[in-house]
Amino acid sequence: MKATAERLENNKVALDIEVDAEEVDAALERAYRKVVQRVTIPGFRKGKAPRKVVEARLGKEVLYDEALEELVPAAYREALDQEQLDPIERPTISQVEIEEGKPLRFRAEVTVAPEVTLGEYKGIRVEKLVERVEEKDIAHILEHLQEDHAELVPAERTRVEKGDYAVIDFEGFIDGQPFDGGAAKGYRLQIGSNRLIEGFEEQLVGAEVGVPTEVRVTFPEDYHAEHLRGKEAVFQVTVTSLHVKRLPELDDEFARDVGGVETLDQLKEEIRKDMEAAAERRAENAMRERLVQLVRDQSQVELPEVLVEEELVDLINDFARDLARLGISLQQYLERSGKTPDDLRAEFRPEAEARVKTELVLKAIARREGITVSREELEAKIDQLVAGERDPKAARQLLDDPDRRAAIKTSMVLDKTVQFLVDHAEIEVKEIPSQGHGHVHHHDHEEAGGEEEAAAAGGGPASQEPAGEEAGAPDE
Amino acid sequence: MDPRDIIIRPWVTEESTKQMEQNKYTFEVALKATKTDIKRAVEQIFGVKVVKVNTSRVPGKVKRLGRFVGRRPERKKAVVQLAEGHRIEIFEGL
Repeated sequence: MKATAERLENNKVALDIEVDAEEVDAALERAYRKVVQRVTIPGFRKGKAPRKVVEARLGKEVLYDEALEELVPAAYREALDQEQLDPIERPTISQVEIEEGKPLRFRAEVTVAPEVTLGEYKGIRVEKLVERVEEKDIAHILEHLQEDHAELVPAERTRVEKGDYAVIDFEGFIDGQPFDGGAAKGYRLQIGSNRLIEGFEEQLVGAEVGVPTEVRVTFPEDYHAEHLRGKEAVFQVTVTSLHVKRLPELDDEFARDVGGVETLDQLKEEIRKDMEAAAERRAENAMRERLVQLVRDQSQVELPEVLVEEELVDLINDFARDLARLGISLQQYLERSGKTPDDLRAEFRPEAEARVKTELVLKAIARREGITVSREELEAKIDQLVAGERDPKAARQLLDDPDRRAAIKTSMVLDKTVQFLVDHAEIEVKEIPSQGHGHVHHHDHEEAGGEEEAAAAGGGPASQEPAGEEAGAPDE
Repeated sequence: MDPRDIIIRPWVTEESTKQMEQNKYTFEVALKATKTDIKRAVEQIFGVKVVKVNTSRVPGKVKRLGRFVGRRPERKKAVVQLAEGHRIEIFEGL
């Protein structure tokens, strides 16, 4: 492979690339082998037709095309390496000359990363703010744990109060007529959980166990069952049993149940350690982000529009994905917020520009400091990525794509460069008061608890399905 | 008979391609052509020396379209053995 680079304006580079005739012929031979496997020619079994016959029937161009697909990207990549170019978009290939027995020639035009004027990036002073874990944070977590491990015990009262767990039978009437899905037996309900339509639970407060109570509600206008919207209904409700939540005592036994440790003090210690580790991670990440930002702000670079555009598209796609998780399409979001796609782009633009600049600056530093990723490191990283996948074989295949490999390599170089910045920065560690991140630690517990409640609640009165089936019998 | 009416087209198949290594070339020829006709025709058209000609009649395949049964035309195949050193270059294979 021979290549000459010519700098054009706007950070464009034209590469004139030549591939040796022998390589071309070898590629044509490989192309023939590939093509012959997928064509059927009368008189020959699949894959058995000689090259001459294939060429005569399909034309040499088929082989040329096939060979180019292999030769051009490889030669282009090699040329980039040779010329030390960092392209930021796909190349435009032109003036392709290919013929058997002759060298392949083509021209590739591509925009490369712009010149970066680096500012100071070593010895940057940056603060690392670690949150102090305080007794009250731990107490907060313990409270949550208590909630999660609370038991339902039969109430000693017979009058319903807010927060009680009641099992109710109910039957609803509209204009004196029972309606579809309006009745259930053994329905479990936490009073004040607002699972049911507004006013229903409130009216049960003060009801006597075993004594039928009348509840009058109006179905809201946006109710899911259309035929009930805006209707007034009367429910005959009987509370059949009443339970209250009892929080476990904070003692050593609690510690054993919850954390598998011997004493409450040990449990507290565990929580403290977890929280401190989390605080440390947050502080480290924030510090790194800050450091990169400082370095970026001190550098100057003309941002190529293609890159900003790409980043914008990525950001908006991410945003759309987040919305989708909430069950909203991007279209709906725009309608509701009254924004145009252009508004959205303008909103994301600063972020996109910052990201592009960060990447260009970090790459420039990597180049200047000779930060690279070796083949072995790349392989190790890919092995690691593949190992984490459910279908390792498919993942491996996916990652073997040269573009993907290049992307992984780039991200590794960037990571290393950030590490380099950290290693050369003057980091001042400071303790700051806790910021109330206490929830993070036992978040998973809370989530699980919430789902259980939702499941137990099932459909409300007037859910389309017969509610009794879902509700099931009372616990104790 | 004109030599070009005797030799109709090359017979390009996997088998015939393989036999070319032994300097044997295969043609579809006129049904009425004799081995002698074929020998003369090949020598005349391609300017080569023919040592031997083997012929065979290849019956047409039975094809049916719905309830109509038809038969593709019968063809005559000739395998021509050339003398050593002689070759036919233009086997373009159509």
